[in-house]
Amino acid sequence: MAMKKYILLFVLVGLFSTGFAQTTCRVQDQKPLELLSQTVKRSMHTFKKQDPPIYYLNYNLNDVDIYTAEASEGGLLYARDMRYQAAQVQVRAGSPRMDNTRTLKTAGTNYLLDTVQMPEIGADGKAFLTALWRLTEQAAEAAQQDFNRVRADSQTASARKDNSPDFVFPPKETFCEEYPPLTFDKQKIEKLLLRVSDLTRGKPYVLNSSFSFEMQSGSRYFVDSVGTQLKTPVRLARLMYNLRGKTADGAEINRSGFYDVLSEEELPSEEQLTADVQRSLQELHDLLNAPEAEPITVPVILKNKAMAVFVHEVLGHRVEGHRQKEDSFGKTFTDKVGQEIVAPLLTIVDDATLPYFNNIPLRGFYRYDEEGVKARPVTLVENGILKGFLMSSSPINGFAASNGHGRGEEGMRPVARMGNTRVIASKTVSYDELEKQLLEEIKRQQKPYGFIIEDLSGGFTMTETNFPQTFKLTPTLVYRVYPDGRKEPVRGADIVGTPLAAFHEVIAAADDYGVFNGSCGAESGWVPVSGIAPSVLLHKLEFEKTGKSDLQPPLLPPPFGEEK
Amino acid sequence: MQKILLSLFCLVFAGVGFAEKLPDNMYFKAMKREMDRSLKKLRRKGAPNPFFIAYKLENLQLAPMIKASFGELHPPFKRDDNLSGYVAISIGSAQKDSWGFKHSAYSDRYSYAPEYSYNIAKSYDGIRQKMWNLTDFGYLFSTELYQQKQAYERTKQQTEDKKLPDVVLTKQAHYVEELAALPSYDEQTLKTKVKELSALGKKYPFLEQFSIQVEPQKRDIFYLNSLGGFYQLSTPTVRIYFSAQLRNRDGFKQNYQSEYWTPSLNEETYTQMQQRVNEFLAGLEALYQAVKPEEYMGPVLLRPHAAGQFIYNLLGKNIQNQKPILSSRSEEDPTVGKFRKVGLRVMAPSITVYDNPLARYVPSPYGEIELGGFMPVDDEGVAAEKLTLVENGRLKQLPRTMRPLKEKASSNGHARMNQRSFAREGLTNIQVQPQHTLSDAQLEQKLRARCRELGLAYGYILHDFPEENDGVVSRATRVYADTDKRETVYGLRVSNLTTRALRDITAAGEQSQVVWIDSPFVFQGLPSQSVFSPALLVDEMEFVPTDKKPDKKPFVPKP
Repeated sequence: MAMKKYILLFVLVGLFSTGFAQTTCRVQDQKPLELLSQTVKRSMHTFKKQDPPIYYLNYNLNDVDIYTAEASEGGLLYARDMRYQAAQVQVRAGSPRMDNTRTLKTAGTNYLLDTVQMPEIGADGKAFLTALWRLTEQAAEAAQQDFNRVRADSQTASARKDNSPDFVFPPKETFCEEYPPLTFDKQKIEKLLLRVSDLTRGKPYVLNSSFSFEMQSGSRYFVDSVGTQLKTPVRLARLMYNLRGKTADGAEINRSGFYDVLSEEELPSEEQLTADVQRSLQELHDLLNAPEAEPITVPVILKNKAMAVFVHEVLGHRVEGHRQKEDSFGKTFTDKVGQEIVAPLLTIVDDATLPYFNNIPLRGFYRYDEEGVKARPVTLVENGILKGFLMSSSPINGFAASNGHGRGEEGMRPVARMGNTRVIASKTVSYDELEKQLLEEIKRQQKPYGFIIEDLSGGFTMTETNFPQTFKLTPTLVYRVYPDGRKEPVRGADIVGTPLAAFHEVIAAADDYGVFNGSCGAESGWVPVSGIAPSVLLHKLEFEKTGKSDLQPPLLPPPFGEEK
Repeated sequence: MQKILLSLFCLVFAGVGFAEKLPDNMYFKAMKREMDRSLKKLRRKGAPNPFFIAYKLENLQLAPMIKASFGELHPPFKRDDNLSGYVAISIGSAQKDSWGFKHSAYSDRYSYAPEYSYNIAKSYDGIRQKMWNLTDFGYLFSTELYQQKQAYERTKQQTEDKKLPDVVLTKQAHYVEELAALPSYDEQTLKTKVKELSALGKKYPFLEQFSIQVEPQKRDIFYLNSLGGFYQLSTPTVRIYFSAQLRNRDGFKQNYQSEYWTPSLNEETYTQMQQRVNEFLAGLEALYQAVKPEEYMGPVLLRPHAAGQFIYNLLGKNIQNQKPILSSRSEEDPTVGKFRKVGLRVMAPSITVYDNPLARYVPSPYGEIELGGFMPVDDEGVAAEKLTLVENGRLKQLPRTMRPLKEKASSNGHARMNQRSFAREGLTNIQVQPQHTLSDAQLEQKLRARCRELGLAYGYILHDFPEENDGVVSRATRVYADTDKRETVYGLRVSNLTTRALRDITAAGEQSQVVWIDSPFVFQGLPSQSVFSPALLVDEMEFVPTDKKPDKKPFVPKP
């Protein structure tokens, strides 16, 4: 019941947040869609008759304005403003049961997609069509070659536990949505970056720093041989900074800040940004002088953003559909649908249709995935029980269709990936109360201290069978909390563990939902993602030491830090 | 030929500024300040102090690339402007320093390369910060290398080589020129011109891809070393690049490219562009009609472009990197040049070859064409000298740096540093000067006559020459000995090529062309070496057909 309420809330938030600026458009008025469709029709007429047949084809055409600028020590490293128009083609040869995309036994490149930068359409569209034709021909040849290899591999392959087809046709869709281009005063932003980059002056512990802004604004056109025609917006903008230092024993310490926005008004004020940078500088300074953490198992609070990253890394990647299919993966959760896999307190939903949360734009928002399938909220875990998986157009046992999570970076074949992964707690307390519970837990377990993980930059999780099925996460801001409530920063504490054990350790949650916006790298490249989660208290987590550099810090202080 | 060379030198010295004072700009101020601080304060207990530091900054500024395919412009793509920097640091003394030794081939950290960084903030503070960072790292690595080099040398016999100092200090030089602006041009005119020229590709239905791109850009270089040498170079230039893909009548797929560099964009350069596009398209037409070759052993006429590539691969590469780099992993240095003995007969007696770092442009009927290797002061701060590399076929002068080989010879200003290597003996603008020249028609007659003499039905004219010994020639024309028949072949692979071919040159043409050699700067799209050579007739070379099979026809016809 509680779950239904949340889903309804997501939808309303979505409607209110996206309604104000979008404009309507008609698919039939979009020249790129017309030319892409024309090429699909012309190609498929012949492709179907080939041996092996080419049975499916889709195009993604990105037409975006890209602006990036970076500053450091009062100078610009670069400022680039350009329009980028590139087409990507995906061709499937063979049949949906077995096609060219199946993982090859020996090294292959069938996870890559052909892309080309496109000329303008022009009056007759001929140059555009010729570039598209050449791209398609190359991809079709490669797809046939890859399929022949897949077919040869299948002669000697051992039985697959999940023998689902390689592909399920996506439903036909038609959709057109436009937004006015994102507009930022670029000169103003560059000046702001230059000014804030000067804040590291006189701070000798800052070995290097970076202050940057990046924006992508435009449209993505999608067409496939099923008849789908889509025009969807591409809208991403981010202001960020990173500060780096190094301890005498070689530990590299980072502090960073990110602001995801969709308009100039949403950017932090200079005062706010300055205050945040100064806070990060202080944190960097404190961490550089902080004691090194020791390996230990203790009670922990994962603050909201850190919890969002934790869920993404430890659970999210393991419920991606394709990982349930390939026998090379550990399949931690494959046979656990209907079983409790996390503490019953938690529900986890991936909802890429959510554009904002608490007025923060979500990077994992999209209308349709890179396979032309409409995004929809997917309940992964309900009250601790595993309900389903993130699905691309590669079916698995029990899950025959995509749920709009086929995602990939340009040039990479999409696989099931996360969008906006949201953790919902059925029972919450205030954050202050959660800290009180942490102290009680430390005392109850008779531990010398516990940890509060304030910030978690990322990490990795190993899902393949030939590696330990573990995860390792790298907190960037950790406080050791003593039974008397005293806190001190520590450095070099990595979280390590196994997924089945870790999620049962959650014993309480706060009501302070926070957003993590980031980029996630996996088989299909880098994709923008978001995580929403409350702070949680875990009964225990295991910590181990972070790897360090074998190079000593510089002998001389940085000149920028030396002078003020 | 004489006339062209004379003009070339006159152009070189126009606008040269051999300055005494460091230029008053943030690049030199930041480098000087940080270098002084490092020399004074960079110390590590038990390790020698810095003995030599060189800083080099390259500021690449790019205008948006104008590109068109089959008559339509592409959206204006722009690569990042980029300030990159090198720091080369040696510790110890002139007698014994840390250079000339490479610890391991396994890791970049231990390779023989300066510290390097790109995307440096364009401010006084940003430059200082990066120079500090690179210098500090460089010093730490140098202390390791110094120890390893000493340990290695202790294991070797005391030879004449070992008695030589590691460095012979040479008088330092300065060169400063004004910082130039990006080449100016009317954007609309350029777009129209590029669009129109790319539309010519529509007339060739066999072309699967055809594009023209123009990249106006500017490269400023700032160099300073701790011995007092410095230079400031500013080169506005325009890269013009044609590319095409076709599938010939037999189905053989071929990519074909051509590029050249010009200092400006004006009516003359547009005329030149038009002519080069026409020549390029004529070459593509010939490639479409091309036939499959057979094994061949006999005379070959290298057109100037092919001749330039041939000279660089067989001569240039064998003269550079004279001094082997010592290594604890291998006693052989595979990068070292093979021609090291002055007086050695390396080419046909009719050929003389110069390396002229002071040449910058060569005239053409359409204005100046840029050479890639202009370098008045080298990367050790020494004034660069024009060298006669080969005189009447014999090796005469070799490039030298401050690191002596067998005698205490001082540098002749040919130390070149790049991302992959500390300064080593390098070449700049290689110029081939034959004693006697023949017209194009006479060269072809001579080729045919030699074929008849050898009983061959035909000989070959090469328009390009591959970089590798077994590489495929992009474009080769078969010329029959007894008739006027000519036909282009595809998939002709060079076989068993050795430096013997340099001694087999029997004639040379009248007109020379510039070939730009891909260089360590190539990632930034800038050449740093060039060859200026006429056509060359070589008495014997071997070729075999490529093993690559033709592709099937496209699934769907071109729109």
